[in-house]
Amino acid sequence: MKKILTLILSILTVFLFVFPKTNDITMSGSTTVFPIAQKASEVFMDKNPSINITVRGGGSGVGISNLIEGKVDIANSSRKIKEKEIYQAKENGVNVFETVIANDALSIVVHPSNPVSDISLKTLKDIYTGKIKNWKEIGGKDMSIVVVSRDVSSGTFEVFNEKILEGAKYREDALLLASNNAVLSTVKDTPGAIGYIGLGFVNESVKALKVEGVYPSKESVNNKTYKIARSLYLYTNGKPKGNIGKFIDFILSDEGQKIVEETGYIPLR
Amino acid sequence: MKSKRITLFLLLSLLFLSLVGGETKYGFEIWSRYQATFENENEFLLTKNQIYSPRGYFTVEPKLSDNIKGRFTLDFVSLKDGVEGASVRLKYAYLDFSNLPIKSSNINFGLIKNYFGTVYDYEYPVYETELSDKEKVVNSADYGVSFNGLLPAGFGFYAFSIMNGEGYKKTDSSVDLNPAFLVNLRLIPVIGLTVGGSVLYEDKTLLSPESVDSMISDSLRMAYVGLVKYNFNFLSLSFEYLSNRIDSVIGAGYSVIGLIDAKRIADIPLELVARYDSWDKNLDATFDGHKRIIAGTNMNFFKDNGVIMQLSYDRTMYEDTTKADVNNVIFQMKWKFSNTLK
Repeated sequence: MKKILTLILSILTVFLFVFPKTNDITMSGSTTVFPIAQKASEVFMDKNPSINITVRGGGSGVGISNLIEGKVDIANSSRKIKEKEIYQAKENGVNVFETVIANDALSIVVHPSNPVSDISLKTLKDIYTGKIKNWKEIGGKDMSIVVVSRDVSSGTFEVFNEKILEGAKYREDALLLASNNAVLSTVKDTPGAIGYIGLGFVNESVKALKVEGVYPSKESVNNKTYKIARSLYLYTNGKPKGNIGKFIDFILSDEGQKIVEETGYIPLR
Repeated sequence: MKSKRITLFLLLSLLFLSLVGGETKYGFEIWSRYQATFENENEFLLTKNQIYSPRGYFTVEPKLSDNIKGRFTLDFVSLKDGVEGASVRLKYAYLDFSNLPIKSSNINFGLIKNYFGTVYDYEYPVYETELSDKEKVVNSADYGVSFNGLLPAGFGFYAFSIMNGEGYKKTDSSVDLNPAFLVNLRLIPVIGLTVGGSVLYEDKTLLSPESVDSMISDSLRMAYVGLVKYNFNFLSLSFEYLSNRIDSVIGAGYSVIGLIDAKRIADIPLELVARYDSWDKNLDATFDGHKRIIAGTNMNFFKDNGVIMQLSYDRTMYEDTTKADVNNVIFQMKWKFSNTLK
């Protein structure tokens, strides 16, 4: 036993000298949060050249899972962490700490040629569950509706599921796509398509619909009139300290919140 | 012939469910292993030298509705205990009902997970199965129903099950119908520290008291396990005490596992792991116990892609001095992939 312990300690000592832990910060998760994380890390690394930040996507579920397994320092998420994930984290010795970095309006987008401009929450649910299958049923053209959704590892998918579908089952032929950009691109190229993306991804290539008569915007989220608003989160193991703390403080600073706004999301103040 | 028909039926059922259901998750996990076994009495003697696939899991998880999902896992075994050939058996086949009145709780029905000790969530830090599985006290799956869930704020996990108690490997007449009752509780009083335990009770005369007259053996069975796990940064430690009583025969033992995740302290994706088991299958008898030591590394160079290399050495030492110690050198590649289809 003594020999084995000695061997393990010797191997570890070699590792510590040959492969020392770097100053790198790793983050993964939500593709919605990705633009904020990427832009903020670029600016932060310019100011702190000794710190390297790696940002990866994968979806909120993947990011949180990576944090629980100790693979990343920060999990980006467009939804709140679930009770099951908190349990797994605690069991793994990870003390999940939540930081809200921005707000977002989940935007419903269609092809720019689509004449429909306003949609109710009930209609949205009926479209995504397959009760409404043609745009003419809600005052649009005689054209089949192509339902575009995010995939199951996405926090955006889960927020939409909770706030719009309320647990109901998706239409069988809904397209499940891996990123906001993929949804944007599909809706842009498909005249009958409808999809949902983070506000930061909305551009002139698609048309954002009013929801219950309200456009997704900074104002409508802040005055709480837009019905499908949400917060964006960073999750860390414990209260962020050291370089991780410095980076998150930077995102929460005026300069960081300006980046939030520039990437199309809603700053905290 | 019968088993082939059953397998075909199961595969067709899986295909049907995946077609009619909504979102369906598929997963495959394969273990490929090289094993060299040596016995050493006076000198090392190579007794086994082979490459085989001890495990292949094919899992389908169809979401049948928002509150009901299914799970089916087929277990492919290419070689077992030196017997050549391949077999396939059903490991899990249960329905999972969620959104119950009690928050974060589920009911599972069918061939379910056995929530005894750590057998249901053991992640194979070494190639060897968990102690209660290894010593054949329980199987990791069994037929029955389970009510389980999370305590508020991630404070713990509980499970109550009524199962057959025979595991998933027995079939036909070797399966008795008496139920086994299981209670499992895990608590996390502080982050990283898990304490818990499970009790499994089965009275084999419950549904057929006449068997008492026929002096059936093994009529009363009571197994329990207590566990403590601690995870902190790069270090994981776990201790499990296991006891198994069948009538008046009591077996007992423990397992200690220590793991150092080098990735947390140095930039190399490697785990160093050591395990020590002690098991005595009858405390009143002599020379029937053994101890086992396992040391190894898990190289997670491709872990993000689902590939792990495990290199292990283990040695089993018997109380019975007439039996030679058994040594194994194992090299194993585990790889898995999963996908969710609509």
